[in-house]
Amino acid sequence: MKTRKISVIITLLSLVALLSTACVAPMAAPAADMGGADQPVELSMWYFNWPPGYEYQAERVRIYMDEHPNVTIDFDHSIPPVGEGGFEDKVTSSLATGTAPDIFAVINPQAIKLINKGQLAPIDDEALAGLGFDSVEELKASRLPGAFDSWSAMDGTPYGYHWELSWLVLYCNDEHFRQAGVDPDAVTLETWDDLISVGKQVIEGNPDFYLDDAGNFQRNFIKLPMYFDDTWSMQVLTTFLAQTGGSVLNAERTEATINEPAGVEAVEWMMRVSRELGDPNIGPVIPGEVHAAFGSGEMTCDLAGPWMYEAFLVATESPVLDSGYHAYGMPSIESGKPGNVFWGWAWVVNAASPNKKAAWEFLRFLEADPQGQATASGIWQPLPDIEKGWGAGRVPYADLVAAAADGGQAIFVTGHYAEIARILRGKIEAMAFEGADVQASLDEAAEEIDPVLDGE
Amino acid sequence: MNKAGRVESAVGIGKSHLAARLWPANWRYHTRMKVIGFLFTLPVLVFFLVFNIYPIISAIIISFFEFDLFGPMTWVGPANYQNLTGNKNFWSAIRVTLSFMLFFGPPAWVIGFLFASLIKDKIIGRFFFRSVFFAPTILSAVAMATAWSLLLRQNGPLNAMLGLSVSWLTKQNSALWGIVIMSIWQGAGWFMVVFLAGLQSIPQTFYEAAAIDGAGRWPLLRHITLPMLRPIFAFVVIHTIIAGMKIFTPMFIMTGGGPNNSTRSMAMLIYHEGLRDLRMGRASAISMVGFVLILILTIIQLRLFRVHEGVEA
Repeated sequence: MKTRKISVIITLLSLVALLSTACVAPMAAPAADMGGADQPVELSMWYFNWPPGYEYQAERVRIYMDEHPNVTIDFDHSIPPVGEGGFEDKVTSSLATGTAPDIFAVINPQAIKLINKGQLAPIDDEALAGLGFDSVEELKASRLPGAFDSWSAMDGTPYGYHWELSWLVLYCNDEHFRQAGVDPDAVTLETWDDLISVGKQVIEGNPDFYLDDAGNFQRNFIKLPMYFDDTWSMQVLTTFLAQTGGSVLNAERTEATINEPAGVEAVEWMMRVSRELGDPNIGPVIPGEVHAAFGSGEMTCDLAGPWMYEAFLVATESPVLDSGYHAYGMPSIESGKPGNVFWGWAWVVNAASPNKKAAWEFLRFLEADPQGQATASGIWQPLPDIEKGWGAGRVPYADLVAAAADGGQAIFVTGHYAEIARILRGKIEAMAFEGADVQASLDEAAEEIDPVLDGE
Repeated sequence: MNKAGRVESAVGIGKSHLAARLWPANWRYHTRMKVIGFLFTLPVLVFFLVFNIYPIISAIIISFFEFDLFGPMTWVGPANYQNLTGNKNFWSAIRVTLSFMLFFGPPAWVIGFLFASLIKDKIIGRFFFRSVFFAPTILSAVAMATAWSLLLRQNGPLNAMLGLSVSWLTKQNSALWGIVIMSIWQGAGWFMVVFLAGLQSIPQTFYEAAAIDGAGRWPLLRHITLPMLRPIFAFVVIHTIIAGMKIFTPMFIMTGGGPNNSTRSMAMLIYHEGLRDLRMGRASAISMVGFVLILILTIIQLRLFRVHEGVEA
């Protein structure tokens, strides 16, 4: 009986202890900077499991540690980006529990959430010194205009140092054009109308490839890479919005404006391209598979970033490299009115890191060879004229790829990005897959978004 | 040496000096054995408290707070629960989850039972068939979901084989079916193993006696096999309810919860609310509702099967 009482008491005490710890929010790590000259410094850094990226970074880490024997960098690139957000969720939960590394990569639509929660170190005077700039203005001037927009707080303070800035570029398979009697060198794909016109010509010239016996699509001429993935949906949507002057939210971020005429026009163009040059219901759905379909020669045209050449063609030994392809820049709705999306990954420093100075100094080194980075990983830093360098310049049609960045704008910035993107993605899927009415769908989206913004 | 002495010697705590220091002299043998038993289970108990009880208690507490993972927790009382009643995403997730359970469970049980019935006898190649039927269960769920998203394309192999033109994963009224088909394929082998164990535990004498009385296959199934498998059925139903409430991976990989949120399960909604939208309070409240749902469904089915501690009432 006495033993039973002891057992009960021990169990109850354990439960009380657990209850009390359950009520306590995680403690932030101390923020004293340990990065004095020649003092031993241990940095930790995370990137996701994408070999072209982490292999290059790992080599830079190795060189840096050789040159700075007092610095040890624990680089973890094993985190799988399974599904959408695998890496980001790991970062979020580790920040919440005080176990995040000193340095990690953040994709831009998610950055503002972490900035608003005070989890990222700003690029302040100490960071500028570490990165080798005298002022924020000088830092911003060194990158493409607008590059910092979605890695900045509402007051304009930047928080991220770019590893990548991407925009969309139209790539098309030369062989498919030629098989339909269309000369890929002669066509002009300046507008979406041009693309739809040429696309129909290619389909009609080689119907057995694209259509089944009943005249239904069995292959897509192009499929917009935007389904089953919130961020890719927003990338494509932002591109078309940039061309119509539309926006998801008003300037104050208090109300949805996606259902206004410019927003509706943008989405109507997305649907036209999707439905007239293919069937969204067939073929690959997830964006990565859509790019792979272009690489394997299953699809004629694709919208992808400057990394298409290295990451999806060279790395996969794509047959398209042999058959030939063109990059056509980015078609616009109206000729001469370019518009594109900016998104990508930047390196950030944990606000709770005790080694911020050393972290920024290392990041300066990590990003100090943009042409080597472009060659090894296919990832372009957002530097003016990067396409003229020996590394990025190797990419076929590098001038056109670079020119496609004209009119680039960031995906909408709000702390409620994830929720709003999910709503919009759902409506895009209903419109594309099931033919739901554009205006009605966007009205529904606006109705669902407004209550979310009430908490902004 | 008496029984107590043998056991104490076996665990090294007999009348040694160490034992004398560890145990009060007036503790009787049974008391000492209980303490020893408790100490042996302590590691598992601590593990259970830390990794099961602690998260449950945390979730209950957090469900009454507004908590974004980074800032302080703010007490909101039952507001997180009240908000769920008017939250269409929540009701949609409940509908998806219950539909999944309903459409996945019975076909998977039937197929699993048929497989088990086929391979329980000594037929040629039964070990091969057991392995083949069971293999999908042990394969990576992520890999399987990826493979099936290829198979289920409108112009994919499954439609070609069946002569169909169904947009399995892109239409709101068929996407869940696509996931159910994949889940049945993956889960039937597990049910097969469970039913096989149940079938092999039925004494052969029952069948022999019934056969002597002239019973055919259907009466044997109806009056011997199915009644004897009642505890097994109870187990698979509970398992299906629990697994169904937790279903996440196929939706996450194959559709991301789409199209238009038509395959977003409760587990996925919890993930979205908690980790993506940083509303841990609401995510915890949904978890608690899920817990209560599992409890209610389990009690109902236990009543239906009238099973108490594995013995028919």
